[in-house]
Amino acid sequence: MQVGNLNKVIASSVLVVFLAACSSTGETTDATSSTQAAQAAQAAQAAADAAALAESQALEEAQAQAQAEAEAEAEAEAEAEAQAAAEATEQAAQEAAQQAADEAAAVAQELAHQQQQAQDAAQALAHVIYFDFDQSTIKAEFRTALNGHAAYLSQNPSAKIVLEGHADERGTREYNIALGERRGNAVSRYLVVQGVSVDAIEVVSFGEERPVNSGHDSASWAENRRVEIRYINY
Amino acid sequence: MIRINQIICLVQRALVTFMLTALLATYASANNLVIEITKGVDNPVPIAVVPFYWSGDKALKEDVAQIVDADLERSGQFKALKRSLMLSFPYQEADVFYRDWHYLATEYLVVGTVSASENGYQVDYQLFDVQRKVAIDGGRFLGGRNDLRALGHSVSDAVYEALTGLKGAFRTRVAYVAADKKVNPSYYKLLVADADGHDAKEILKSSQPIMSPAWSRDAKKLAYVSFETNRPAIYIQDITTGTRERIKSFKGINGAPSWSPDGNKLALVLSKDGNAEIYVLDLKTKRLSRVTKHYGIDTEPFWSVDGEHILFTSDRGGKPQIYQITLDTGWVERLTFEGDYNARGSLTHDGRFVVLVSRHDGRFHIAVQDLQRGTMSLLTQSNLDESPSVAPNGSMVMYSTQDGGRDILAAVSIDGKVKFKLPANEGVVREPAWSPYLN
Repeated sequence: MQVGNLNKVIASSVLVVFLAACSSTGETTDATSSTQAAQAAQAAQAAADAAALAESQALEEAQAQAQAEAEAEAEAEAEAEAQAAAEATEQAAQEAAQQAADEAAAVAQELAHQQQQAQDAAQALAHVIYFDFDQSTIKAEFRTALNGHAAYLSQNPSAKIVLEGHADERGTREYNIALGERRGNAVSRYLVVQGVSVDAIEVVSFGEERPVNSGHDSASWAENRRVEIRYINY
Repeated sequence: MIRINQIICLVQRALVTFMLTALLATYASANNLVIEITKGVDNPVPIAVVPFYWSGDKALKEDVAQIVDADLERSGQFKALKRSLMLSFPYQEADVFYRDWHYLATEYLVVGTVSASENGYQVDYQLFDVQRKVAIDGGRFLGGRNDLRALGHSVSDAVYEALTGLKGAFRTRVAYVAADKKVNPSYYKLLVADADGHDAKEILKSSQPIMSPAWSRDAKKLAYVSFETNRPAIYIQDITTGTRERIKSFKGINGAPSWSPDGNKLALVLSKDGNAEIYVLDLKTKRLSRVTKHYGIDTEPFWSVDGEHILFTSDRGGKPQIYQITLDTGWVERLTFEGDYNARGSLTHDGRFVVLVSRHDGRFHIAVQDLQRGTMSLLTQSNLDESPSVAPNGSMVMYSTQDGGRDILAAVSIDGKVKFKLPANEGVVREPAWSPYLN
């Protein structure tokens, strides 16, 4: 387009020179034709100069415009590219974030599920440990349950338990309070050895004051000689 | 401004005190204990207690002579003559015909009068030796309008002392714990009744266990253990005002309170340092000092009469036995050797006998260890007998036992010859604590 304009300028300048030349040629037949021809030549020269100047100016202008346009175009192009790139990055980030969130949620859900399962498992464990008369030895049959509680408690530092020690009705009441505590302490020690924090355990003895079975026979007494594991926080 | 605050504070305190009093001192006559004498001495002394003369218009609320009659019979040492067999009802020496009473094979005779005094009643009594035909004792007791039963017990104490040489312990009280899982699964009460089971008053009610009541030596306060906060703590309660104080509690056991003879200190059991140990708390300075130091169980402290020793139960030798520690030297001595379970020792007022719980052939009985002779004898043959508490005159031991599948209170004389039961009208009762002499 710029080249086209330049051609027009050049064409119009040449036409002016040609017309001037024609008119000067027609006047040669006149008596004053040599003067006219000189004037025409001058005019042609001026026209040629003007055309040349116009041509150079137009060229310069065209060049400048072309450059400017090229620059603008490049700039726009860069801008567009940058925008596109930015958009692409943003989208990628969003996608990544979404994916991460999804993954995290899945993990959290899995953890919560595992936690619930662990809690359920802890709840499913035996919560009552039974003892022989005047004894605080933990019998082998209760180790599995205690190991389960120990595992749960050491993996869940916020979990807390109260070990309620109890005795059967035989013997004196205050001695049975001490005996109930000794049983609670035996369970506590077992759990601590398995890795449970001392701070997660409290021992409270009720002696013979809170029997689960109010009978006065050996079967009732066996039920009452116990440590109850009570979770106050899971 | 300060004054207004002070007034508000006072009003609040008064309200709290009132509410506590109302809560703690509720009258509960339904918990009366009913005496059943199950065993007396082989040859009880025959005595006649003639109805006391009353000059007033309205009938008295209490039959004073009947109270004296029942007290003397409950001691197991006397056999009271039935009123329906009496030939006359004398109330003064001039009307006593010794021949009539001799004819009825009565050895001693009690007569008396009740009269109105300025603020209540006056009771006069006389005791006669029928065989020797002489008055051997007599006296006067004054009391308020609600003190007729107490006046009767005072007459019993005087007659008992005149005839046995031993101060009577009829005008005393007993604190005990009641619980009934059948009535209410979370029902524990601390009650105080007269030693004959009458006039039971509830002084504390809780949904959690109450245990180990112990009388102050002036018989005005009770120390006890309550689990009302889901942890054991020792409280001291004034039984007339109902005000109470919780003594500083520690992690673990807070139990087995026992008053020093001067009433200024409390021996107790704490496990704050690892396991059950005996401590002494100075009630005035609040200073706590440790008495025992052993990895075994040390519990159930009981002060000696001179305040220099504390008896306690320990399994430091493998099985529970009674030990005694001398407070200023820390010297520990084992007192019981018979059997593999001897616990909860308490001393008679003269320091001669240790009353305790002892296991024989798998059964738990009340036993007495004679510290002079070093011998132990069983006072009861029933099973699951526990919490023996000696009367202030050392004559009888109250304890709890099983009767028909429920806990009841029972008493046995220190020589094992006399026994009676005090079953509650309802529910189970246990842990009797016999008060010292009143005032």
